[in-house]
Amino acid sequence: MTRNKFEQQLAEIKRRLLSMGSLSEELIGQSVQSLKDQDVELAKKVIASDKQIDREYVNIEKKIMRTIAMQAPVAGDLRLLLTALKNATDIERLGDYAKDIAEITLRHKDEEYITKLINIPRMNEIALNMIQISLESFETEDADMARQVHPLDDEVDSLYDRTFRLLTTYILENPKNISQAFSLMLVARHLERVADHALNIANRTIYLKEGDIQYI
Amino acid sequence: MVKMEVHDLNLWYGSFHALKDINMKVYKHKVTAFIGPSGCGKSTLIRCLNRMNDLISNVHVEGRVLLDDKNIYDKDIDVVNLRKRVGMVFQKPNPFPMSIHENITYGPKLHGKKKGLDELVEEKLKDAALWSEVKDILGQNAMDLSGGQQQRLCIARCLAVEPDVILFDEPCSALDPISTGKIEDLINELKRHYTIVIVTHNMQQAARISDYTGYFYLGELKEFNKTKKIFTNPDNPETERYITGKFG
Repeated sequence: MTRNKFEQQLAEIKRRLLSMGSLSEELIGQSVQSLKDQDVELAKKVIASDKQIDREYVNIEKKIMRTIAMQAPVAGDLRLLLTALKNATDIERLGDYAKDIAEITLRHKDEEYITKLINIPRMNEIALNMIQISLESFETEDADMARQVHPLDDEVDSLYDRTFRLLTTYILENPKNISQAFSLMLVARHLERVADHALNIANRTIYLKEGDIQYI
Repeated sequence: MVKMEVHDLNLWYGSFHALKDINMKVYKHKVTAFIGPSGCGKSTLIRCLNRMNDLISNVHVEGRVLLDDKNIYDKDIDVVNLRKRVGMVFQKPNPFPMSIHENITYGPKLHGKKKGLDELVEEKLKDAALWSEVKDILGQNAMDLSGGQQQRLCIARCLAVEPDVILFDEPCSALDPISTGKIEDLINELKRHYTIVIVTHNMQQAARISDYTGYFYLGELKEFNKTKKIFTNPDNPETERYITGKFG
């Protein structure tokens, strides 16, 4: 007995989720790029593209629910569908963070930045790497690859702390810096959360492969 | 607490080796399900638990099956008494061609019970969740009941001799989903007072109603585990392939 239709449904869900993940990753990169370059057009493009991710999220969730209802999956198949459902939520959040960062670009589009953006692009770089690894580990169901994401999250956390402290000094120096410093703190916070979502996706690959939920 | 224990059990139909070195436990007041593809030995094993296989010629059994620490294959075992303690409900409802009342009292009468038969009928039909449907037609022929009702009558008939263990051999495969639901609810109730072993082809049924599950293939017990473990993350990849429908 094989279940060809079911196998096809699982493959389709995985494919669409990975494609949604790639789009989110691209939008995060573009949002930080728009912030760095004060590129209004790019920021507007990111904001518009987030809607596409929201729509795809709803479609994927419906598809997963239908598959669970119609195919009564168990064991590895059930873990794959639950992982896909949870990953879809994480990936949808990535799109939201990209949109929020792009909106911050628009808010400060005509201002000179109070500091050169160094930590934020670095956080972005690591977070994007984390998303890439976590999505690839999900695609190939490779728990060892997923574990590579753990130390990267620590790096992002440490950069976030440094950025927060640095921006606090700008606020203390001059109250006029408050608005921009808060916005940049928010960007750093969003990127820290992006890394957390990538970590969630990686941890779920470990769960998918090993059936152990303790990493979540 | 262990109710039954199977030790190094082997069974041959003539030269065909149908059960190979089976070792497992049946826990008291729990539901144990046997799953596996056709011909894997699950029905053969359940029939070893009350020596129903003795009725088939050419069967040779080695090993031990303990019921409350006593080997049921010992020479001094009274098989009639064993089957009273370990009752069985079959795939196809098989009521006797007599009244509903007589179906319930048949066994107890055989075992010498003469008084309190009406009370017994009411009690057992209530236990089998059938009383409200048949209380006014107890004198009617049992063959006139629906399939689902007949199966619950067979369960009531089995309960009437007050067994410790009830064996269900695919009890729902001839029933519609509503009747199946009733039997499943009933099994869930019955486990409070009885120990239950069920063979089922319906894996979702095993997942829904059992506490422990054994997966059989080609006469071997491939995995015996808690049901929630089997259906979320089985230890044996062969079990995973079977329950996810990739093989079998």
